[in-house]
Amino acid sequence: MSIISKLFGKSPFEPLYRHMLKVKECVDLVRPLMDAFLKGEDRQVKEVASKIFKAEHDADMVKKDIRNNLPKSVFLPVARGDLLSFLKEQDKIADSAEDLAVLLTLRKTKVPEEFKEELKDFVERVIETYEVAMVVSSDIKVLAETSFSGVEAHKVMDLIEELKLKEWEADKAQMIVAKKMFAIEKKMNPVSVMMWMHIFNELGTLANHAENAGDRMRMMLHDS
Amino acid sequence: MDIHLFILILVISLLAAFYSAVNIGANDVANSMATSVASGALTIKKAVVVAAICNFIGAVLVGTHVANTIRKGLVDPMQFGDRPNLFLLGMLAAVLGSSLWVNLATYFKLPVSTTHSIIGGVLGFGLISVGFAGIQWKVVFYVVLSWFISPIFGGIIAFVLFSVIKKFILSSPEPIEQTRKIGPFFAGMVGFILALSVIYKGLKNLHLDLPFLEALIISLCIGLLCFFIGSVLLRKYKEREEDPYYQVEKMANPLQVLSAGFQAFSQGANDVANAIGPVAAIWAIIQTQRVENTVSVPIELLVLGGAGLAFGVYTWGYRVMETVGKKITSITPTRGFSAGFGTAATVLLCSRLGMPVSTTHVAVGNIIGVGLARGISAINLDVIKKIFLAWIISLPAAGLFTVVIYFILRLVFL
Repeated sequence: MSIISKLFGKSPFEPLYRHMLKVKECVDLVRPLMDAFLKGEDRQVKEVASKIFKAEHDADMVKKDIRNNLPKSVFLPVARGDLLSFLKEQDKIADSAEDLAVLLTLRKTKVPEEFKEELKDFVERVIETYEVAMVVSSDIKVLAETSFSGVEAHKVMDLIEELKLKEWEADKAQMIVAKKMFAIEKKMNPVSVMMWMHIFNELGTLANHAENAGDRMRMMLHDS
Repeated sequence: MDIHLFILILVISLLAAFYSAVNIGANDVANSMATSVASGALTIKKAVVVAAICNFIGAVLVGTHVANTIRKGLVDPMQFGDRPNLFLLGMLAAVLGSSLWVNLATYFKLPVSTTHSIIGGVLGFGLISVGFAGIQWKVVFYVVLSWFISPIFGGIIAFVLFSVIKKFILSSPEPIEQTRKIGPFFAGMVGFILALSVIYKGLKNLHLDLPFLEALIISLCIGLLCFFIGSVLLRKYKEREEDPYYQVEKMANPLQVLSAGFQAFSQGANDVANAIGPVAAIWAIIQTQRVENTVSVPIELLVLGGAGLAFGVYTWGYRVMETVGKKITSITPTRGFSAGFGTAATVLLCSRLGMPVSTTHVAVGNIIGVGLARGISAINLDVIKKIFLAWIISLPAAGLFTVVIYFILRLVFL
């Protein structure tokens, strides 16, 4: 067997792209999940949740596969550590979606009319955030082709700036909905309050991980 | 020794040389052609034909220089002035010993280089026959030095070349337009260097060794011709609704094929000596019945070696390519061109300087050079350790095999 062929390792960027697709499959289900939840359709919530679990598991498998194929002796066009931490953050987006799905199936929690609109707005902001993150991640193959530099890298950097902005908006929306909830705290069951705080947090975390994934991607880009 | 024995030895050594050439051709075809096949620029069939032809031409046109180093540079034949038969048997032993070692090592999947093996063989014979003082240590030093320098030198060329492609094409807002502008320069550069290396003080065998100025002018013309052909080809390319970077890679296909052919050419020039270098020494002695330092390498031998290389490429090389082409997927034409050009230029330069370098190592150095310019998505660096180990072992091992065979031959023939 030729030594030249042994010199070439398995590219991590194709599987990274596949990982992104799985994570995307996962988070794309967050909207139907929240819709069903807001309408109080329990069965629908469970159905969507189980789809999320499946996609999250698939993403995990791809993640493991990438890690197992990246021994220290492999030389990459980006720092190995940066790549792995990007993978970790991208995977955490799916994890958050899964945790959210778990939360929503745990307990029947009715959505109070008082902050329904604010909640919808918050969810919309979170979705906008991870959608930008997915656009960033989906560029990984083209970035590898242009060795993470040049015009393409700048395009992605701009997207990452936009991502930060979206995450900030999601944060603001989270604050607003939380305030609205506490405004009616006397009317609410304390267990529901606890539940809502968890749900808000999980949604916020999802947006955070989306932003972090962008940050990690930023570390892989070169300015030249 | 009587004439029948001479003929017997000559026939054995010719057969061994041909066999060795076939082996080299089969094993090394992947170095030049694997990237073109992997990126889809060439089918295996076409790659094998291109490699066979380029190997042959390189061997015949530029093969003399390295062959001279092997046949008379390391161990001075004049030391055998009164006992030419010993030198004859020693060279035969070197061919057989190094071939045996390469076969054995290949069986055990050690990535050995035929270059290191033949040098090890010749040195082993020299040490045992004329002793430590009989070896041209200065030449040996330069040869070993070239084994370190050539992969690094090539790697630097590949690094710079890919960095240029990155800066002016891949980083540009209009990569396709930039490829049309810059691509022809690359084509012209290949044509110019290739032509100059062949024409300037080369082609002695065809009595075409031109002085520098004439060679330079002719080479410039050939370079210009390549420039225009490249220019026309790139202009003909029609843009598609597709990511521009992938289109740039498609446009770079002809460049990659050009550099792959260039690489096969320089490989032929360097590697043919591994097969026919010692035989050239034997041939000279048998022809003149005494040890001579002045006769040049006969073109018949270069043709034989070149044919052996081409035959190896065409037959066994095909199978090597089938396995290798499928495995390498992470290299695209712009990368393949950079690495191929760096390798070819380095190997050709070494060939012209009479330095027997390992073309595989130079190719590895070039691929790493592109990798350092962030051009390759994953390189297994642990391969380097294996390669280094294999070459450290090759010298003494091939030497030992040669010595044993040398003693056996002496018992049989003298």
